Amino acid sequence: MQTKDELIATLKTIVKPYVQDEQAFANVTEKTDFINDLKINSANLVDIALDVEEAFDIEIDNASMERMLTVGSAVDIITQKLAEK
Amino acid sequence: MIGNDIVDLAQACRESNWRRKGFLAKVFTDSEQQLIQSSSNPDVLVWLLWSMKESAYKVIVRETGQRFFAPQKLACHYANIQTNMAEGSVFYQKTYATKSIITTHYVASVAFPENPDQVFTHEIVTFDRTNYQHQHTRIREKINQHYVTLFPNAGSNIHIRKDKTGTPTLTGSDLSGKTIHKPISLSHHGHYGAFASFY
Repeated sequence: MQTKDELIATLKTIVKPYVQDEQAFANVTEKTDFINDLKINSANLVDIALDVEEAFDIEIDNASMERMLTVGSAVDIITQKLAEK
Repeated sequence: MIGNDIVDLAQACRESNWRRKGFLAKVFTDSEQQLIQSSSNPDVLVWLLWSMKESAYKVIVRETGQRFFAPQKLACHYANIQTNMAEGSVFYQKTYATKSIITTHYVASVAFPENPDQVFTHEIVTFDRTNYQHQHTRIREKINQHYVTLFPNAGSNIHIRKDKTGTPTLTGSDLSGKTIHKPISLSHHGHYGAFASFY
Protein backbone atom coordinates (compact mmCIF):
# COMPACT_ATOMS: atom_id res chain seq x y z
CA MET A 1 0.00 0.00 0.00
CA GLN A 2 1.38 3.37 -1.02
CA THR A 3 1.52 6.27 1.41
CA LYS A 4 -0.39 9.40 0.43
CA ASP A 5 2.86 11.13 -0.61
CA GLU A 6 3.81 8.18 -2.82
CA LEU A 7 0.34 8.19 -4.31
CA ILE A 8 0.57 11.91 -5.14
CA ALA A 9 4.04 11.31 -6.66
CA THR A 10 2.62 8.57 -8.92
CA LEU A 11 -0.33 10.79 -9.85
CA LYS A 12 2.06 13.65 -10.75
CA THR A 13 3.97 11.32 -13.10
CA ILE A 14 0.68 10.42 -14.81
CA VAL A 15 -0.50 14.02 -15.10
CA LYS A 16 2.82 15.57 -16.24
CA PRO A 17 2.56 14.88 -20.01
CA TYR A 18 -0.80 16.69 -20.19
CA VAL A 19 0.16 19.81 -18.19
CA GLN A 20 0.24 23.15 -20.02
CA ASP A 21 1.17 25.37 -17.07
CA GLU A 22 4.52 24.12 -15.78
CA GLN A 23 4.73 26.75 -13.04
CA ALA A 24 1.42 25.65 -11.54
CA PHE A 25 2.62 22.05 -11.84
CA ALA A 26 5.80 22.89 -9.87
CA ASN A 27 3.58 24.13 -7.03
CA VAL A 28 0.98 21.37 -6.97
CA THR A 29 -1.15 21.04 -3.84
CA GLU A 30 -4.29 18.98 -3.21
CA LYS A 31 -6.34 22.05 -4.19
CA THR A 32 -4.71 22.28 -7.64
CA ASP A 33 -7.37 22.13 -10.34
CA PHE A 34 -6.50 20.05 -13.41
CA ILE A 35 -8.25 22.35 -15.89
CA ASN A 36 -8.26 25.82 -14.29
CA ASP A 37 -4.73 25.66 -12.76
CA LEU A 38 -2.72 23.14 -14.81
CA LYS A 39 -4.57 24.16 -18.04
CA ILE A 40 -5.02 20.52 -18.95
CA ASN A 41 -7.24 20.02 -21.99
CA SER A 42 -10.52 18.52 -20.79
CA ALA A 43 -10.26 15.64 -23.32
CA ASN A 44 -6.98 14.69 -21.64
CA LEU A 45 -8.82 14.31 -18.31
CA VAL A 46 -10.23 11.13 -19.85
CA ASP A 47 -6.65 9.97 -20.53
CA ILE A 48 -5.69 10.75 -16.94
CA ALA A 49 -8.61 8.62 -15.69
CA LEU A 50 -7.55 5.75 -17.99
CA ASP A 51 -3.86 6.10 -17.03
CA VAL A 52 -4.82 6.07 -13.33
CA GLU A 53 -6.87 2.89 -13.88
CA GLU A 54 -3.86 1.19 -15.48
CA ALA A 55 -1.26 2.43 -12.98
CA PHE A 56 -3.26 1.46 -9.88
CA ASP A 57 -5.19 -1.46 -11.39
CA ILE A 58 -8.53 0.05 -10.38
CA GLU A 59 -11.70 1.03 -12.20
CA ILE A 60 -12.84 4.64 -12.07
CA ASP A 61 -16.59 4.51 -12.60
CA ASN A 62 -18.33 7.49 -14.17
CA ALA A 63 -19.78 8.65 -10.84
CA SER A 64 -16.22 8.94 -9.47
CA MET A 65 -14.82 10.54 -12.61
CA GLU A 66 -17.56 13.16 -12.33
CA ARG A 67 -15.81 14.76 -9.33
CA MET A 68 -12.21 14.19 -10.50
CA LEU A 69 -11.43 17.89 -11.01
CA THR A 70 -8.57 18.46 -8.54
CA VAL A 71 -5.45 16.62 -7.39
CA GLY A 72 -7.11 16.15 -3.98
CA SER A 73 -10.29 14.63 -5.39
CA ALA A 74 -8.23 12.28 -7.60
CA VAL A 75 -6.23 11.17 -4.53
CA ASP A 76 -9.49 10.54 -2.62
CA ILE A 77 -10.93 8.48 -5.48
CA ILE A 78 -7.75 6.39 -5.90
CA THR A 79 -7.53 5.80 -2.12
CA GLN A 80 -11.18 4.72 -1.99
CA LYS A 81 -10.87 2.39 -4.99
CA LEU A 82 -7.66 0.81 -3.61
CA ALA A 83 -9.38 0.22 -0.26
CA GLU A 84 -12.26 -1.55 -2.05
CA LYS A 85 -9.91 -3.97 -3.82
CA MET B 1 -26.65 31.87 -21.53
CA ILE B 2 -24.19 30.62 -24.12
CA GLY B 3 -21.25 28.23 -24.27
CA ASN B 4 -18.72 27.39 -26.96
CA ASP B 5 -15.88 25.01 -27.70
CA ILE B 6 -13.30 24.64 -30.47
CA VAL B 7 -11.15 21.63 -31.36
CA ASP B 8 -8.04 21.96 -33.55
CA LEU B 9 -8.31 18.66 -35.43
CA ALA B 10 -4.54 18.28 -36.06
CA GLN B 11 -3.80 19.06 -32.41
CA ALA B 12 -6.48 16.61 -31.24
CA CYS B 13 -4.94 13.94 -33.47
CA ARG B 14 -1.54 14.53 -31.80
CA GLU B 15 -2.63 14.79 -28.18
CA SER B 16 -5.66 12.49 -27.88
CA ASN B 17 -5.90 8.89 -28.99
CA TRP B 18 -9.65 8.33 -28.84
CA ARG B 19 -9.10 4.80 -30.14
CA ARG B 20 -7.34 3.77 -26.92
CA LYS B 21 -9.16 1.13 -24.92
CA GLY B 22 -11.87 2.59 -22.69
CA PHE B 23 -11.81 6.13 -24.07
CA LEU B 24 -15.10 6.11 -26.01
CA ALA B 25 -16.94 4.32 -23.20
CA LYS B 26 -15.98 7.06 -20.71
CA VAL B 27 -17.14 9.90 -22.96
CA PHE B 28 -19.98 8.78 -25.20
CA THR B 29 -23.40 7.18 -24.78
CA ASP B 30 -24.04 3.81 -26.42
CA SER B 31 -25.85 5.39 -29.36
CA GLU B 32 -23.08 7.98 -29.83
CA GLN B 33 -20.50 5.17 -29.85
CA GLN B 34 -22.52 3.38 -32.54
CA LEU B 35 -22.62 6.55 -34.65
CA ILE B 36 -18.84 6.90 -34.33
CA GLN B 37 -18.15 3.23 -35.13
CA SER B 38 -20.30 3.35 -38.25
CA SER B 39 -19.11 6.77 -39.45
CA SER B 40 -17.03 7.18 -42.60
CA ASN B 41 -15.19 10.04 -40.87
CA PRO B 42 -14.96 9.08 -37.20
CA ASP B 43 -12.08 11.48 -36.45
CA VAL B 44 -14.30 14.46 -37.21
CA LEU B 45 -17.42 12.99 -35.61
CA VAL B 46 -15.65 12.27 -32.30
CA TRP B 47 -14.59 15.88 -31.97
CA LEU B 48 -17.88 17.27 -33.28
CA LEU B 49 -19.76 15.38 -30.55
CA TRP B 50 -17.11 16.35 -27.98
CA SER B 51 -17.40 20.06 -28.83
CA MET B 52 -21.21 19.87 -28.66
CA LYS B 53 -20.98 18.35 -25.17
CA GLU B 54 -18.30 20.76 -24.01
CA SER B 55 -20.19 23.85 -25.20
CA ALA B 56 -23.45 22.67 -23.57
CA TYR B 57 -21.49 21.89 -20.39
CA LYS B 58 -20.33 25.51 -20.27
CA VAL B 59 -23.96 26.70 -20.38
CA ILE B 60 -24.85 24.26 -17.58
CA VAL B 61 -21.97 25.49 -15.39
CA ARG B 62 -23.09 29.08 -15.96
CA GLU B 63 -26.66 28.18 -15.00
CA THR B 64 -25.85 26.02 -11.96
CA GLY B 65 -22.49 27.31 -10.71
CA GLN B 66 -21.43 23.67 -10.36
CA ARG B 67 -18.56 21.99 -12.22
CA PHE B 68 -18.37 18.26 -12.90
CA PHE B 69 -16.72 15.93 -15.38
CA ALA B 70 -19.36 13.59 -16.81
CA PRO B 71 -19.24 13.87 -20.62
CA GLN B 72 -21.28 10.68 -21.00
CA LYS B 73 -24.24 12.27 -19.19
CA LEU B 74 -24.61 14.88 -21.91
CA ALA B 75 -26.38 13.14 -24.79
CA CYS B 76 -25.95 14.52 -28.30
CA HIS B 77 -28.39 14.44 -31.19
CA TYR B 78 -28.01 16.14 -34.48
CA ALA B 79 -30.88 17.14 -36.67
CA ASN B 80 -28.82 18.27 -39.63
CA ILE B 81 -25.23 17.30 -40.41
CA GLN B 82 -23.35 18.36 -43.52
CA THR B 83 -19.67 18.47 -44.45
CA ASN B 84 -19.26 22.06 -43.26
CA MET B 85 -21.83 22.44 -40.47
CA ALA B 86 -24.07 20.64 -38.03
CA GLU B 87 -27.16 21.60 -36.07
CA GLY B 88 -28.28 19.52 -33.16
CA SER B 89 -28.92 19.39 -29.45
CA VAL B 90 -27.47 18.15 -26.20
CA PHE B 91 -29.69 16.79 -23.45
CA TYR B 92 -28.77 17.12 -19.77
CA GLN B 93 -31.88 17.50 -17.60
CA LYS B 94 -33.16 19.74 -20.39
CA THR B 95 -32.37 20.35 -24.03
CA TYR B 96 -29.68 22.73 -25.24
CA ALA B 97 -29.52 23.62 -28.93
CA THR B 98 -26.15 23.51 -30.70
CA LYS B 99 -24.70 24.87 -33.92
CA SER B 100 -21.31 23.72 -35.18
CA ILE B 101 -18.92 24.79 -37.91
CA ILE B 102 -16.85 22.01 -39.48
CA THR B 103 -13.70 22.69 -41.53
CA THR B 104 -10.73 20.49 -42.40
CA HIS B 105 -8.80 22.32 -39.65
CA TYR B 106 -11.22 22.64 -36.76
CA VAL B 107 -14.67 21.94 -35.35
CA ALA B 108 -16.30 24.81 -33.43
CA SER B 109 -19.62 24.52 -31.58
CA VAL B 110 -21.93 26.92 -29.77
CA ALA B 111 -24.66 25.82 -27.35
CA PHE B 112 -27.55 27.83 -25.94
CA PRO B 113 -30.98 27.21 -24.42
CA GLU B 114 -33.67 26.05 -26.83
CA ASN B 115 -35.47 28.74 -28.81
CA PRO B 116 -33.30 31.70 -27.83
CA ASP B 117 -34.90 35.04 -28.51
CA GLN B 118 -31.50 36.63 -29.19
CA VAL B 119 -29.02 36.21 -32.01
CA PHE B 120 -25.46 35.36 -31.10
CA THR B 121 -22.02 36.21 -32.38
CA HIS B 122 -19.43 33.44 -32.86
CA GLU B 123 -15.93 34.44 -33.96
CA ILE B 124 -12.94 32.24 -34.80
CA VAL B 125 -9.38 33.39 -34.05
CA THR B 126 -6.18 31.85 -35.43
CA PHE B 127 -2.93 31.62 -33.46
CA ASP B 128 0.61 31.64 -34.88
CA ARG B 129 1.86 29.78 -31.84
CA THR B 130 0.11 27.23 -29.68
CA ASN B 131 1.43 28.05 -26.21
CA TYR B 132 -1.13 29.04 -23.60
CA GLN B 133 0.18 32.57 -23.02
CA HIS B 134 0.03 33.44 -26.73
CA GLN B 135 -3.52 32.03 -27.05
CA HIS B 136 -4.57 33.94 -23.91
CA THR B 137 -3.20 37.29 -25.13
CA ARG B 138 -4.29 37.00 -28.75
CA ILE B 139 -7.91 35.99 -28.04
CA ARG B 140 -8.23 38.98 -25.67
CA GLU B 141 -6.92 41.34 -28.38
CA LYS B 142 -9.57 40.03 -30.76
CA ILE B 143 -12.30 40.32 -28.13
CA ASN B 144 -11.30 43.94 -27.43
CA GLN B 145 -11.56 44.73 -31.16
CA HIS B 146 -14.88 42.94 -31.51
CA TYR B 147 -16.67 44.50 -28.54
CA VAL B 148 -15.20 48.01 -28.74
CA THR B 149 -18.50 49.40 -30.07
CA LEU B 150 -20.31 47.93 -27.08
CA PHE B 151 -17.95 49.64 -24.65
CA PRO B 152 -17.05 52.89 -26.49
CA ASN B 153 -15.73 54.48 -23.32
CA ALA B 154 -13.53 51.62 -22.34
CA GLY B 155 -11.25 51.40 -25.36
CA SER B 156 -8.67 48.84 -24.46
CA ASN B 157 -10.03 48.71 -20.92
CA ILE B 158 -12.39 45.82 -21.48
CA HIS B 159 -11.78 43.12 -18.90
CA ILE B 160 -12.56 39.46 -18.82
CA ARG B 161 -13.29 38.28 -15.31
CA LYS B 162 -13.65 34.64 -14.36
CA ASP B 163 -15.71 33.47 -11.41
CA LYS B 164 -14.69 30.59 -9.16
CA THR B 165 -15.89 28.04 -11.70
CA GLY B 166 -13.71 29.67 -14.38
CA THR B 167 -16.74 31.06 -16.23
CA PRO B 168 -15.87 34.36 -17.96
CA THR B 169 -17.78 37.64 -18.10
CA LEU B 170 -16.83 40.67 -20.18
CA THR B 171 -16.85 43.88 -18.13
CA GLY B 172 -16.57 47.48 -19.31
CA SER B 173 -18.33 50.86 -19.23
CA ASP B 174 -20.82 52.25 -21.70
CA LEU B 175 -20.91 55.92 -22.83
CA SER B 176 -22.68 57.06 -19.67
CA GLY B 177 -20.01 55.39 -17.55
CA LYS B 178 -22.34 52.62 -16.43
CA THR B 179 -20.65 49.25 -15.96
CA ILE B 180 -21.86 46.51 -18.31
CA HIS B 181 -21.39 42.82 -17.63
CA LYS B 182 -21.75 40.62 -20.67
CA PRO B 183 -21.63 36.81 -20.47
CA ILE B 184 -19.10 35.49 -22.96
CA SER B 185 -17.74 32.03 -23.69
CA LEU B 186 -14.12 31.42 -24.75
CA SER B 187 -12.28 28.41 -26.08
CA HIS B 188 -8.84 27.78 -27.50
CA HIS B 189 -7.05 24.72 -28.73
CA GLY B 190 -3.87 24.47 -30.78
CA HIS B 191 -3.87 27.04 -33.59
CA TYR B 192 -7.52 28.05 -33.14
CA GLY B 193 -9.61 29.97 -30.67
CA ALA B 194 -13.22 31.10 -30.60
CA PHE B 195 -15.53 33.29 -28.57
CA ALA B 196 -19.30 33.57 -28.49
CA SER B 197 -21.92 35.77 -26.85
CA PHE B 198 -25.43 36.96 -27.43
CA TYR B 199 -25.60 40.40 -29.01
